Amino acid sequence: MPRCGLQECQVEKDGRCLEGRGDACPHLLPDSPEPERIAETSLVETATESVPRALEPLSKRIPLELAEARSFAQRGPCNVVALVGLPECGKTSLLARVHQLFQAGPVAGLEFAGSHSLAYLEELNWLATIESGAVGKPTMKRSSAIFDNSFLHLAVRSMANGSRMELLLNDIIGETLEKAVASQAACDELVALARADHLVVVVDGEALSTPTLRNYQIDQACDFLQRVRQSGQCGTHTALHIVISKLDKLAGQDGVADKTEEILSARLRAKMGSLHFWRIAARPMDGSLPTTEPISKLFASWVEITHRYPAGSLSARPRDAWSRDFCRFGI
Amino acid sequence: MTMGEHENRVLVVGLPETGKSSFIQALDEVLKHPATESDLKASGLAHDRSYIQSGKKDFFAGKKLGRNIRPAEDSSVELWFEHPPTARRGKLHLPDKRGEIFRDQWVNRQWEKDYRESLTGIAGALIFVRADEKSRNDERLGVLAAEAHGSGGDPRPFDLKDASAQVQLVDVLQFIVEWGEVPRPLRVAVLISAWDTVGQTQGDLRPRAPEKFLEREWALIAQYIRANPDRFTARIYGVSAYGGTPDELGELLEQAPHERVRLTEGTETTRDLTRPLRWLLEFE
Repeated sequence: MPRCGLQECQVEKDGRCLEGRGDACPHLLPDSPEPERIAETSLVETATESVPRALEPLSKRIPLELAEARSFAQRGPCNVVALVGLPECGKTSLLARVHQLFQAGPVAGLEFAGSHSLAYLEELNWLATIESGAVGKPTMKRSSAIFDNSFLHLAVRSMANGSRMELLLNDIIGETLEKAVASQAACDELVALARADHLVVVVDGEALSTPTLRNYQIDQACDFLQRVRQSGQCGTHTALHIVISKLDKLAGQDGVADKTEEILSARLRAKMGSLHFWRIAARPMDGSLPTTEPISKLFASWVEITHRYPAGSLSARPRDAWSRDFCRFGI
Repeated sequence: MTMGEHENRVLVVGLPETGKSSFIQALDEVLKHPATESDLKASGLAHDRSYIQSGKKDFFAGKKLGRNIRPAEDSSVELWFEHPPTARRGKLHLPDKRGEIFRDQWVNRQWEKDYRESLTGIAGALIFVRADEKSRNDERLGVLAAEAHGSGGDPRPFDLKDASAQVQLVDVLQFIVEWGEVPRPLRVAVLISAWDTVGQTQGDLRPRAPEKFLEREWALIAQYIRANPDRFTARIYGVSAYGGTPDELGELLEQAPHERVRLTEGTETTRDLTRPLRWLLEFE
């Protein structure tokens, strides 16, 4: 792993360039062989009595940086989906559920066509598997703020018409949402939002079921949306999804979900490209199974809806028309 | 090589213990004993058969082939064949890479330059999955999630080796078609090994047709291949290289290996293991 001349940069540990410049960063220091690599190389030399084999990198196990994501956006029709929510709201469970659904078959008429984030998606889901040996409440790997401007990649193909779509999923951690509400500067740092076709705000259903936490959830969602609207990061070009998660925790309290949707609808409907409400349980704890149908429909909407381009124009555009996709949005 | 002979390299891909080596052994036997006039048949013995010879005794005895201790680069298999209907003759190169090599690509996110260069010019790929292996990790869902309270040991930290088998294999295929210079579309024959284990018990609801089996049991791979018609063209086969479970063949051992083998395509079952190769090499 390369090292960086900047003291604050952790690229040697996590592969993330502090300045998001990737391999082109001028602060990178010449690579030094890791102890394991030296050992490995020595073994190969002993076995073959020849020069060490040249190794070439493949896709990384961490989310894509902006430059990498740009290359996927240039491949053809590409929708960017930003997901936000307060800590522990169930956002990661939703992403892991989508990954699990595709492992079982097509999702809402969309086939899995590839992903350069498979390693990361498997890691997200690990603690919810029997193989992990975890017991108690299934927990998910928590994302990190260093990935706030990173993307998970997923390509799908419509079984109906064969059209392909690249999806870039921008997972923004809960702490960042609170910081963005507190500070416009922090919100402005979420540069990927400028390209988001979809903004998914996950509202924690378990928190909604608790009177002392309920209003904070709604308030933070509203303030965040106010923040990204006034900065121009989101607006009429954005499809907004309000996802009430952990539906199992809201059992018997349908009125709470209804009221939450009413409040948000009244404040936001005219200000975004479209407004969609969803109620899901990606990893229910009451013995019931995940709400596959709404999650599948939610996922399909990320593919089918965009307010950036005229309806039906996506597949009609020549492939080279996408070559400057991210650049148009200053990222 | 004489006029009319062709060198054909076929990539053999699969995670550890997915039946690659046993298929190659069985194929060697079937080439020597073709069932019909149209099957591929051996046109002689390659000059160097040391690798395939090293596992021959165990294969004949119906024993599971052990991990090969030969160096990874010494796993090349060369089979000489002819195709009677067209009189074409050729040499088939099947590098029997250890499954760990593919797993290491997934885990380490890198591969050897030599391997990448070896992909150039391949005629196609044999991709191995097992009928009796789980394609993905089990989730704690429903009752399992609800009952999973209480204390226990710490969960095992995530290791990429523990990822779902189908996820690992899809990424290995992505490496091949995105980083390698391979024909487009690449002909791939997906071989579901241990096919004799399918439908053996009354409660086995798994589809008996290999294509439908892959669709249901290895869904991510099935989707990935189908959703990329510009990159892949595929056929799916069920294969039983031993004719039963190794080390438990019993009376089946009375039969020669080429008589025990089974290959299923669609609803048809044959002992012609050369069928996937005939398709990869465009004999049909």
